[in-house]
Amino acid sequence: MENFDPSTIRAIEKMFQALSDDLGNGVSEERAGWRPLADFGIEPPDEGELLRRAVIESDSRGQFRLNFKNNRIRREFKTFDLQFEQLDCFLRDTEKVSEAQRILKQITEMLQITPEYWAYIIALGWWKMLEISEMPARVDDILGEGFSPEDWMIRASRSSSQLALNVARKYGEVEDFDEVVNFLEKRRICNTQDIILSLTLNQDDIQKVMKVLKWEEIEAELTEPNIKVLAFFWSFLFALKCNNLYPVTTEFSLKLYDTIWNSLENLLREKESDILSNLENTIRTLTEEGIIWASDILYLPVII
Amino acid sequence: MRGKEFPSGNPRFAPFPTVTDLLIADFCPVAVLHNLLHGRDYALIGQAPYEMKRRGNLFHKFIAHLKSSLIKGKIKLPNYNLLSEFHRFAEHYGFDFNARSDLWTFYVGPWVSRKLDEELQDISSSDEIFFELSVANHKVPFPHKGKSVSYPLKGRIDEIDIKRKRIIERTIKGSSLDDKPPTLKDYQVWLLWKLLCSLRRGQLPSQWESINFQDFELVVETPHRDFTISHENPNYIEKTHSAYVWIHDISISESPGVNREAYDNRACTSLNPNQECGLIRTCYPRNYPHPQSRPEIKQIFKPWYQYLLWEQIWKGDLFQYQLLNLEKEELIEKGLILEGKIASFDDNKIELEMSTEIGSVRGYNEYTIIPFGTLFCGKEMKAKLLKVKGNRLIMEIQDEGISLSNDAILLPSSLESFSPILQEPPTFLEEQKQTGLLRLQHSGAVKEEKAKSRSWIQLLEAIFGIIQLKRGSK
Repeated sequence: MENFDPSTIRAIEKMFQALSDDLGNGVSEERAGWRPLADFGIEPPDEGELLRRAVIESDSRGQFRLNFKNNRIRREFKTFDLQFEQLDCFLRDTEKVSEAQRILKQITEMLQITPEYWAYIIALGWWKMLEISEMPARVDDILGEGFSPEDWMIRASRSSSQLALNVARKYGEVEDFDEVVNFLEKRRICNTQDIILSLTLNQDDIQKVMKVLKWEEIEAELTEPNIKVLAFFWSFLFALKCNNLYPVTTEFSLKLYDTIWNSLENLLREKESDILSNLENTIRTLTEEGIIWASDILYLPVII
Repeated sequence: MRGKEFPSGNPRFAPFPTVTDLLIADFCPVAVLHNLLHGRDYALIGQAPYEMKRRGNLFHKFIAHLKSSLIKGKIKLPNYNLLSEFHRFAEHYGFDFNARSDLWTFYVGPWVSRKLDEELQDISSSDEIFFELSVANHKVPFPHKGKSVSYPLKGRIDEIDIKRKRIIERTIKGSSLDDKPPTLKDYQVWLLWKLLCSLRRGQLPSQWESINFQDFELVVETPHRDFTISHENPNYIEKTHSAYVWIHDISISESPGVNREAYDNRACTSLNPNQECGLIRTCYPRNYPHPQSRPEIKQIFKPWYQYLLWEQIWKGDLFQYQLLNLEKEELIEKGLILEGKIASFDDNKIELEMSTEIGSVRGYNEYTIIPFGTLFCGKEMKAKLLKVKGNRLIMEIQDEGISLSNDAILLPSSLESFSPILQEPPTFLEEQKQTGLLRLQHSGAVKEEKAKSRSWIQLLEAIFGIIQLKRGSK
């Protein structure tokens, strides 16, 4: 590293940027990062030295890129450890996101052709969202229905699948959660072993949970785009998790986020900004009605 | 403001940011997101933030000590050995010989040799120089589309030189080759100046009420150069509005698109990270495949970061609003401040004669005294209660070479803190919880065998994932 001057270091930074731009735009690993030498600010006299030391590699079209697969180069440029590490993540994410996009396309087409299947997606997405929310509620209401706070923590989230099915049944016939699981497995969206349902509560307790959460008021306020956007995001991310396709880099996470929104805009025939402000309005209305926990239950998952 | 609303959920009032928060927001929206949600506030300090902070503090302290000693006549130039003085001073703060030598070579020495012939020799007992002055206002006006928008802001001014009419922002950053100030230091001194100029009569220390700070020179001082900063720069105004929007949205907006917008506007990329930034590893953490339940962990932790931030706003920011909005009598009545007079003062002890019953302060050892100035603009000093004698408090303080007035205002713990009557924990604890949570979210193991041998990873998998906890080896 000490043998390289600042202009070489700047050139390497530009080479990383070229790789980042290309990989981010879906260019394959083999074709990514190639540029004329001038784009990296390398003068022809330095070219030979960089090639000789295998810092750069050239292709048949007379273009160059960083020789990032060479382990010696990685060892030599210690200060670029982070970039090499991130580059590896980029390369893994390229594959993951391409597979994720395939699943996304499959789900989107399935819903476009057969809108009744929304019921399964809603059941899955809402189950996951409610379970992860851990059902925040007002302590007085929890105690009022005979739960201790500890009871509530253990039992409330066990109603997630039932509450999710209640919402889903407005959009299609679903008998129970097993039907949802079978459907998802048949479509290769996820496997049975990925979905572990906790013991379901009895109907009495489910009614009590619904009362504490003011579930009927929440459901009454929800619009179709609200229900579908939450369901779609949570279901799709669950499918990614099951298939180990979650991207780790910011760039690919953002890319995936954009792709999900494109699909949703197509499916719901509404703009992202309208869908989001619709969801915000619903949560604001519920909060104003005293259901201050609405924003802790109905929220989009974190992607980045 | 008067504590009638029970603090819970989204505070729905604007946070009370520091000048540093604004700088970080301007530097990168993702950095301010990490600052607010994850308690990581060292984006602008760069790599090795703790050591840099420690060195920077010593640089500030030594210059304050040197100038104060010149004013008091304890040091007389040009024949005084400043190198020995620096070694003695730095040793007192725990720097070993090598560190002291480095500090002299890279920072203090170049500064002293630049200033020795003129500025330092010119200092006399008639000088009025104030160091590390805290300034805050809940309404700092900034022009916006022909009107004026006011924001809350607090900060600390490194040096105000009344005689030479200068406000100085001092830093150890920068080199002798620089032709412009280190990143955002120009904006920093401008913000502090705007903050100071926003204060009215009664908000400024009584001695300063006739001073017009509008025409004070703004200087960024590095060890190697001084940069004079213009008072007029539309870019600074734009930066300020934008920074407030980021801070507001990240803190209290519940719009689902805020995170993504911050990342869309980030200042660097993972393959081209900003080497100046101290948060590189926070933004681009190592990718550990284990625990496999990391996606779930991320989802579950996300709201917690927000709740911890809201707790800080309810406690620290609300307290700051109360200090600046409520009348002094109301603050005293609510137990938010106590008032007293300085009865005696020496290098490390201060005796305060309190005007009200002092039984209520018993049990709290850490205080902030403002021996000079007001709640809007004054010198804050940390003090430790040693003894209560009648209506007098005897406290231990650090000598920072300041001039004291006869009136003192006593605050529990610190200005950023809150009333002891509420008996709530200090806000820095919430910040530590945020930092700890993020560390846990990012930690892990590369290899499965390692993950299996680490009980905390297995515990995370059991809590957030789908594995079942098993006792023993079978």
